[in-house]
Amino acid sequence: MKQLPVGLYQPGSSVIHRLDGSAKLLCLFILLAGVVHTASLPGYGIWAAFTVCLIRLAHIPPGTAFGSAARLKWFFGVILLMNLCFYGPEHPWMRWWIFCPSYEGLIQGIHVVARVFLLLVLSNVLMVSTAPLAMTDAMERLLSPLRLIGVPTDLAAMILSVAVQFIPTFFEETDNIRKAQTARGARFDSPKLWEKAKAVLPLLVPVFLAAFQRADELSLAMEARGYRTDRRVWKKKYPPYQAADWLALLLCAALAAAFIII
Amino acid sequence: MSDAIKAENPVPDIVKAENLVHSYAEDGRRSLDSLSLSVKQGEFLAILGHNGSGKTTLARHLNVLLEVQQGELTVAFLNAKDPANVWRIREKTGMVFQNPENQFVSFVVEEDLSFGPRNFGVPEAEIPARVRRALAAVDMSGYEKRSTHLLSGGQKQRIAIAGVLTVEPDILIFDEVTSMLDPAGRKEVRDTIARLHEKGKTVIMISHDIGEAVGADRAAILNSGRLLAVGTPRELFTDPELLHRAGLTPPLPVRLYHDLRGRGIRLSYCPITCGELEELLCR
Ligand SMILES: Nc1ncnc2c1ncn2[C@@H]1O[C@H](COP(=O)(O)OP(=O)(O)OP(=O)(O)O)[C@@H](O)[C@H]1O
Ligand SMILES: [Mg+2]
Repeated sequence: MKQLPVGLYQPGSSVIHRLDGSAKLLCLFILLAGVVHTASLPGYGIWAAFTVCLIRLAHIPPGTAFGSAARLKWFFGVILLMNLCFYGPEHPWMRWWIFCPSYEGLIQGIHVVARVFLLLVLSNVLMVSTAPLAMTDAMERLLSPLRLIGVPTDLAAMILSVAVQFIPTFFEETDNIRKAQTARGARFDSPKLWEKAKAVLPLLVPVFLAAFQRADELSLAMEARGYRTDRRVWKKKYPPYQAADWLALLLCAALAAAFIII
Repeated sequence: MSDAIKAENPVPDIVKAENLVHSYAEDGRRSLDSLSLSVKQGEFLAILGHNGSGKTTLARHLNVLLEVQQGELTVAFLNAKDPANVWRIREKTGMVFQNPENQFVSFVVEEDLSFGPRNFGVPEAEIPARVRRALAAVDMSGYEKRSTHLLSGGQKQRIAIAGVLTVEPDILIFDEVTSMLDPAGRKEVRDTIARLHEKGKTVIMISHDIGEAVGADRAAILNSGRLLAVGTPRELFTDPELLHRAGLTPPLPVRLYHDLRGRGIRLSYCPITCGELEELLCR
């Protein structure tokens, strides 16, 4: 059984799924502003509890919710170590060569990791609970003021959302080509940097050619199915926010405001 | 319908191309060369030809993805040279491409199927019913909420077909839609196409697998941008010399018929399907 790539929309009918896409996107930005302004460890505890509630509300399995963040565990480790060792050279626990681990460094490291982690998980909740074209509409709606200065917001939103959907296919393709080239003797696993580079460079060419081909075919298919960039056929009327949408926005705003003010 | 009435009301040509010429580059190398071809309403036309013979170029004209450079073209009774008709023609003709992966705008089936009707301004309230009908037509009812990532090749291609059907076109154009599929997927898609034809759609199927074309009402063979021959599959496919000139391999039963003849075994007629061959041999 094939697995859905991590972070892709999973259909559902939860409260979170039913919220308007643009309200959700707005909520995400508000929440992120709050997360960035969090200055204490108990603060992150509150955020974590809030996030877990969201995940439960959206009926997202934990593996899916934390998958993309869990993939970055090495990145988090490195961030933590670097902050620990280099951040606070004033009162280090010890000094050895260029390393000066300190309490301040540890705390700073935890801050950075917690913020990035929350950012990833919260964005993931949005991605998993919002269908791709609903997301396109959401971006378009939020960007729509830019239309006044002549930015083609519908086009921008469409490009973004199609590009995002192509990422998993892109990786799959890269993997296929890598396997094919390994079979023909390419040395991706070589410890020698030069050999590795020699293996990776020929990989880039077919990957990019395939991407261009794909873009070309998709644009033709979209045109054939009536997508037009010259004139909008249907005047977009965005559905008004429901009570639930307003409630969600209010809740997120209150939570974020609390963290920003304190 | 009696023959007299038929003669008075002949089935109209839903597609009519006259002396179409197209070249992509400035150098004037012609990918289509004074090509004339017509397709009757409700007909199943197979277009065959080797790689680079101009099949895709022709198909893209029918959907006005390429502009007519020289010659005349009417599609769905509309003049394709008139820019005002472009979108009406695209609404009347649905085009399905070779690679199913490169046709989806959303990986959620339901959303992808609504893409076409939304573009053509179909009222939002009508779309779910269209989606349901289109899924039923490709025998994939109940797949609304599925993700295209998890479907087999044949299923993906059938969803791509459904994505075209939601616009409710009269003409369906399939450009080598089975060439990237495994045998099971090919059969699914072929059966779907045959069913759509039975329901009255005009089908134009491009292929370089001659075996797929035996079920068509008529076949056209392209060679270097020119129309080499048009006729019933039986007329064209039992002529190995013609097929050889077009760079095509005759269907297996035809090859076998001629091989047997070379060895002195004569069958009463040249079969073009395995079913016919079987019947002949069992006699
Ligand atoms: N975008 C393009 N730019 C330049 N030349 C092109 C382009 N597309 C096709 N051609 C050329 O036009 C000719 C006809 O191509 P076309 O794609 O119509 O053939 P085809 O019969 O569909 O082939 P295939 O079986 O490979 O799909 C070929 O010689 C090809 O090289
Ligand atoms: Mg082609």
